[in-house]
Amino acid sequence: MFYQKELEKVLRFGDVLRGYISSIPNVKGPISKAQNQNNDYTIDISHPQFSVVITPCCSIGEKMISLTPLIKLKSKFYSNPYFVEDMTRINLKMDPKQATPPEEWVKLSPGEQTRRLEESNTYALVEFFVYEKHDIFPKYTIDSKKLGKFETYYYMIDFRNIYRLNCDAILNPIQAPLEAKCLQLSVKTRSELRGKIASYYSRTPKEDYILQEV
Amino acid sequence: MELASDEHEEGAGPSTGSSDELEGYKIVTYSFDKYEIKLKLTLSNEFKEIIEVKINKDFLSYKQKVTPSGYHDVDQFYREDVD
Repeated sequence: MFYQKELEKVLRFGDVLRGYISSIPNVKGPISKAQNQNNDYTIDISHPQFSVVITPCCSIGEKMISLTPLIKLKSKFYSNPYFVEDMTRINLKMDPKQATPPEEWVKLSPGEQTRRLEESNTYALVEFFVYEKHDIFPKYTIDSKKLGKFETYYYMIDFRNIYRLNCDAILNPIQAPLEAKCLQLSVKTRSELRGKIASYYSRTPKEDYILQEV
Repeated sequence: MELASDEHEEGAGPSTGSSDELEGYKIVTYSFDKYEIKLKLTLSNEFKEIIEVKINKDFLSYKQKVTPSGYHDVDQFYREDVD
């Protein structure tokens, strides 16, 4: 079960909300007063139909919350039959061959295949977490080179899109505008989201492995 | 642990050090674990001596290349611009 059947009267990590805006600041580079450069900036404001709560349950409050918009899936995900069977597999650990489109796997050199097999069972597409289809989500068209055009109800979040929103009505997880809450993840799915976002932040770059070794 | 595959020969004959010592010998560098070992061998590959042992700081040694990164690096296969 991906979603909780009954919504709790409390805001939780992973909840789908309606009615919140999203903002993205844009700059050409760091603003430098000394050189009077890059002083121009813009802020894009949008109103995504659905947003997801990314603040951990215990930290929701003090009139602020972290959100990320629900966005459409990449059509390229449909090049992998393992994902086509169930797109929420992207949320879970998998083996290297499951993570790779078959036509790409056979193009890899034996050495590269061996290197990838060393990774064993772990996450792929670490920035993304797919939300299971649900009646409240509008369908949209995927245009896949492999499968052609078809409609889907799957959505996802991209951890790189997370932003902070101030909202006077959010005092704590209970004293909050709960009418905005549309869907709640099941305990199992919320744990999966927690696991994947933790993995997203806990990756160690190879350069750091080297420093640890020497 | 097996020797890494990035061993290379620096060539027969003198290249560094005393030419008297290297006449008829070759220096071979092996990567072993995190170490880089320079060996002096005869031209018929008989071991003569260890010349140098140092930490291998090569950014992408064999071991570093195969060190699991903790996730499957597959983003390149799912970029929309290559669809």
